[in-house]
Amino acid sequence: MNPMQIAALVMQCLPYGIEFAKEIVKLIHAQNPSLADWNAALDKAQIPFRQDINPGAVLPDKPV
Amino acid sequence: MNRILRIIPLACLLVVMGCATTQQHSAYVTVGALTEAVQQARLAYSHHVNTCVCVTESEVAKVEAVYNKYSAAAKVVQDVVNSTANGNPDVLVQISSAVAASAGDVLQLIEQLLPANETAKLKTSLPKGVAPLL
Repeated sequence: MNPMQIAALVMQCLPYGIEFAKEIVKLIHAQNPSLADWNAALDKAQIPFRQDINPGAVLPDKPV
Repeated sequence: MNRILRIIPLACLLVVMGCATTQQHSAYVTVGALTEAVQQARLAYSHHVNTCVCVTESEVAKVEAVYNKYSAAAKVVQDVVNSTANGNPDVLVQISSAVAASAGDVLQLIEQLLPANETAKLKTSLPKGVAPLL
């Protein structure tokens, strides 16, 4: 990708947040992604769903 | 949260724009963009649950079940990537599509459940970060 394409892409990513845009740029710059790069991207999907949820904040279901 | 849903077409755009690069690189960018998008949606939903204290166990369990399917799909991709070392480009493109489908399910469900005002919180201060990115 040439610099103009990257600039256009960054502008499209910005509404999703600066961190997201940074991640996309980082991904694009990894022209030959290594095994470690792939694993770093995919490891994010293995984070337990409730990791950042405070158990006390979840209400019990109402009895039927 | 609608903006997050637009990540799916954005991911497709990334693939198109990445046509000058290898298929493997395009698959990598797509998968990386989706895992990051789901990560942000998960954090936004967690924040909502923690601050609202109005979400029931059954709702959290419903989102968790969809997330776990996505997580399992990503694990399959990870196993393929690790077992094929440099990876077969065709296989990588196909399996990245599978991750895209399950990631879309997670994003869609969270979009349905998250209040509109929480969407705004996903956005961070934008303009000053533009220059360092380029």
